Amino acid sequence: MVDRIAFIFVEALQAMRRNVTMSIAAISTCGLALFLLGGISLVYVALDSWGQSLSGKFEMRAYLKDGVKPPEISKVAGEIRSMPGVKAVFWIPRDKAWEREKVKYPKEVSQGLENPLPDAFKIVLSDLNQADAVEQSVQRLPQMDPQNPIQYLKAEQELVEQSRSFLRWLAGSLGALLLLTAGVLIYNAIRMTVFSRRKEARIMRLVGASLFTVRVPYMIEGTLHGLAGGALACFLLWACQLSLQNRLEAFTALGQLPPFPAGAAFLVLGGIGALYGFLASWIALWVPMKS
Amino acid sequence: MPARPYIEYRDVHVVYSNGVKGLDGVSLQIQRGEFVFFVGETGAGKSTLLKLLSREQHHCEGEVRLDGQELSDFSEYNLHRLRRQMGVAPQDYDLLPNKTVWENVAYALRAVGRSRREVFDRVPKILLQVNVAHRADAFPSQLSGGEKQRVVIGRALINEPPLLLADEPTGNLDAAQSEEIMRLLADLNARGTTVLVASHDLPTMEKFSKRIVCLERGKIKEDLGG
Repeated sequence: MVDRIAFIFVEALQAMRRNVTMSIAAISTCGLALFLLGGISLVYVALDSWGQSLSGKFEMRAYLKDGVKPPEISKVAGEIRSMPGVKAVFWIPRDKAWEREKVKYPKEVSQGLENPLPDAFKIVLSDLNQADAVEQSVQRLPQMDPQNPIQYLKAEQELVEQSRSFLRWLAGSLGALLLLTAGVLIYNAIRMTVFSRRKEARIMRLVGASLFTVRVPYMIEGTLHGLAGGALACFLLWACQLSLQNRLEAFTALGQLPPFPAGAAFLVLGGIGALYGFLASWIALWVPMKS
Repeated sequence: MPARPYIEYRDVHVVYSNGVKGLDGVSLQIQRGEFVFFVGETGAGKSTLLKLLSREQHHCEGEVRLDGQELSDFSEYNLHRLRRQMGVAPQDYDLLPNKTVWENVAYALRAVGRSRREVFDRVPKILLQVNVAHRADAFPSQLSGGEKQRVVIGRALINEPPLLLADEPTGNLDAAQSEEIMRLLADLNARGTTVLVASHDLPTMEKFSKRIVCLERGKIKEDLGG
């Protein structure tokens, strides 16, 4: 059994050595595709976490009707807190808010002027997508003042969300396109190998080798192309991260990049590459072998 | 009651993809241990008869049976079971140019799943059997036509098959080498192997009193017993 596996692997490696140019082309394209896909994914994850942290910085101001008592205010605060997309709710008593205004605008807010501010809630969001729903739900509460609409940075929230959607779309479409290109190259590499080794394949079949023995070396070759492409992509990502980190070190304010997840990146990119190479070679084999 | 034929072609028709008839209603029976020459002009159908047995060619109509089994029953996935019952020496040698004689035979053995130990044990014996042991380290380009043919026959013997198919084994050889190859095939036949040879080398064939099946335009014209 070990002998047989060794024979099949040697066949696959010899095929790669024989078609070295095509192998390099397939590996490098697959590597590039996975590098861009992996790179975009990492940027997306970073932007996503930045977006998530940004969510906490987005606040809403919701104003209560006059005369709502503190126990009821606590109850309303609890209701708002339980809404999806809400991270925290703070009650801002009208007196406290007025004191702040006075400190902030001492000239404009002259002494003796009656406090015109209502009691309010500061609502901190955990998910920007839920902003509109939170706004509508809060506004519907009977304790809220319908004359004083909820205030929040709606346009800014939409911009952040659109940026994330665009990046998702970019990662998806560009990655798919690049993977398709890599697949075509692996397919071509296997087709060329099949063509260049048709004599071996014919001899194998004539002497009674099973279809499995004839085909598996090609599939191993395709899988190795994909795996090597994944490893190359992983290396390129690591090199990029290292280079970026070295540049960022000069700017202490920008802080450190998160450590490169080498093991996970190799597992994911190598796994995707190997699976993709296997599939591309399987498709490539089906046509010539059938005929 | 006559013995069941080892090989049987029953009203076999073959039409190539370009519409040309390869065989036109051929019926033929061959017993185990026979030595049969298929003779005819180019395109007469002699190679097609061999390729039907090795399933390199499919028949359109009729039946082709080997040891009672209809060959179209073998699918692409279990074809190797059929091929291990026979040795095939193709017309164009098909030796791997970058491998030595020893490696060419070893490669075939490895391809059918033999272990390295078996390979080291079997290859010298096969090369001795076909009388090319002295050229074991030579590459195909360094061999004469007769030597190449011996290697091809040796490679065809790796499964110790009861049937050997040789397509034009003397096609590119001079008279002396042709006779040597035919003698080798006759020796194998004498040891019990059924041998089918497609050839148009009548002078060599006449020296061996074997069965000759003459083909013309896909039909059997004459069947001369040995």
